[in-house]
Amino acid sequence: MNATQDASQVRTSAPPVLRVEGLWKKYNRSLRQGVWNLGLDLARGAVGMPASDELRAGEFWSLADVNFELRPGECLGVIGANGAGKSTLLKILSGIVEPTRGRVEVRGRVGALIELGAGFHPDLTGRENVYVNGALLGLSRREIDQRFDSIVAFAEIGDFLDTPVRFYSSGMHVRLAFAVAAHTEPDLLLIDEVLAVGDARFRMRCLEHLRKRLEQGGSAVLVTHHVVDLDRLTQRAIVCDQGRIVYSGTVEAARTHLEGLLLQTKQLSEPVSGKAKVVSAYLTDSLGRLSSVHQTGASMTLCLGVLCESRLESARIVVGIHSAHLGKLGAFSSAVDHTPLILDAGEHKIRITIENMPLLSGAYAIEVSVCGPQLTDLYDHKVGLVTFEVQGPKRNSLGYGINGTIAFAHRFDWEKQA
Amino acid sequence: MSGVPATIRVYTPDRQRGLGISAYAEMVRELWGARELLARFVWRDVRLRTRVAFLGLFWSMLQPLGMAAVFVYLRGSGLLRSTDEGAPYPLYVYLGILHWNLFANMITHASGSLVGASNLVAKVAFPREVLVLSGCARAGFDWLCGLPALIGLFIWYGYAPHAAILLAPLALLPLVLVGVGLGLLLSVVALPVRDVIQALPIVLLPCLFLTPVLYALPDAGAWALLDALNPIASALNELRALAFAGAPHDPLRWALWTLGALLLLLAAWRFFRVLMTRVPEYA
Repeated sequence: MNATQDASQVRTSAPPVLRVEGLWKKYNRSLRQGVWNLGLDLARGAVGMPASDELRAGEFWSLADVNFELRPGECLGVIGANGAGKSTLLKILSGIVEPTRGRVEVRGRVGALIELGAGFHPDLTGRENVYVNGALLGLSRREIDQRFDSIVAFAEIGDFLDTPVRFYSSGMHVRLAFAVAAHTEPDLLLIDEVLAVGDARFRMRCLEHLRKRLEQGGSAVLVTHHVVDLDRLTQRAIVCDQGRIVYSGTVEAARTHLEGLLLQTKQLSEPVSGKAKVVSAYLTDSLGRLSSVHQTGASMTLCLGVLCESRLESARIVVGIHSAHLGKLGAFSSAVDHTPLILDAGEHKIRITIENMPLLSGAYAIEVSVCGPQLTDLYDHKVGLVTFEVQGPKRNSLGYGINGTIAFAHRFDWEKQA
Repeated sequence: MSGVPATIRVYTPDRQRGLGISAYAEMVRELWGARELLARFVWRDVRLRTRVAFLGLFWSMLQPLGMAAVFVYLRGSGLLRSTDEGAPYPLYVYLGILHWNLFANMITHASGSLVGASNLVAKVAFPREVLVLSGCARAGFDWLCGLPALIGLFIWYGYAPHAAILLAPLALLPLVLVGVGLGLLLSVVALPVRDVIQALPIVLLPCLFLTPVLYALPDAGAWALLDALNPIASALNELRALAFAGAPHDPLRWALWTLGALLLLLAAWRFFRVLMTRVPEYA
């Protein structure tokens, strides 16, 4: 096994660092109503009744029945669309907000990086901010003294140490903030998107730092949009959707699941004119079997049913492939090879085959347009008509294998220059 | 990690309920754990005020002096009638203003402290009392800056304060306890209900005129009742009596107010903790 792939030394015998049981948290959409309900809950508390744990007007579950455990050395990735409840989860785990129902048990010191440099004051120097921020993250003066040189070295801020952070570049700001946070050496690190900032080199160093921390038996919950960062640190991830854990498994599979969810929200259908429309669509594999899971390098066929109201002398069909994160990856149309598609009135079956599926693991969606000869002859247009999954070779984001979205057919040749 | 028994924290709904001794023990323990953070925050505030404003300390001295000067003029010109002050009026009024400011600034800085640090409140877990207390400390710093002028006035008027003035910190107890208590209460309420911050100066101003700060209040009828119901008046009365007469004014009333203020503080602190589990979402 690659050293980088399974860095964490998970100790299954040790008691969990974090145990989350039946966690629910509700919020109110309306500020005013929320304050009113808060007042009601206080009044209930005053007479010894528990706060309401059912949904009232305007309320919604930001987290609903979340359960998981984390053991020393383990890292859990949490991914999901915006508003899926990821940040709420971290805020509860770090003790900032209280759950509505359920129980969270945390063992040991917790370091929450929900926002880097939240305590930085622009008019204080880097040195002063290190001490203030360190204290905020729970370090004693002595601990900061001991780690000070290491923090400054990690942040690479050089001569700017005694300059007010007002004059720092955003990169320096982030580096210093992460350096302080990284030196708190908690048993459980809660990280929200903070690795998305900074330049690539610094991000690598942050990841390396986290990896070492995991090796030493620290644990982490990592909330991120950057799934790429995740599989550098862990193989285990959960997908949140509308407050629930909808998937739990490997990072690769979780990513595909999330992409599928995201693609669903991007479905679009606009019948432009009634001359022709797509009435059915499905995918088959190289053996003609109906399938929504395809392999990198294999062939895939899209079978379209197109219903024409009258005879079309030269129809065009345009097919595009979408990725949840990257948008449209590519498109092609029947007009490319100048074979005019002549369709009589009635329903037609059209098969479009993609040879050597060039996509790597993930979820993808198909967009289809049915058009006439002119640019303006758009008869039907559907985005996310069919979605499919691709299973391919395992990615390696550290430069030890294939990575990204597209499988490039490639070859390395080398020779010594004379 | 191994060998050291790790602290276990449990988060459940309503874990901050109850008024038992154990709840307070936990609160004191957490606050004690954050003493270095408090020191850092206080140090930071002082640092910032002296760094960005070149006349930083000077402003803190000038404000009460200027106000005292206005009232010395008003009284001198006969527009303001005040008698039975027991000391030269400038000394009387400056002492009053300095300590009223201590109270008013404590409440003002403290109630805005959480809203002013909303980013921290929403995103970093630490005992939030620290923010409120550092707001109070800021008022204390202003007070310290105003002290040299008070000493100067004592010297100027050749008025040797009685040795009993050493008891002054004790006399100030009701004022400080009410200040911190109201600060805790208002700061946490101000997160979901920002009106608190708007309303505060409007409420504080009439209170200034109903408290013996700028003039001695009549010692009879409704005024006397008002005086008796005002913990700040009790602190100011004791302070002046100690400084000017060398004897306490009404020790029983002071003791009752100190006790009352302590109870207010404890209740407010508990309320602060209970509400704190719900309000970071409004920060």
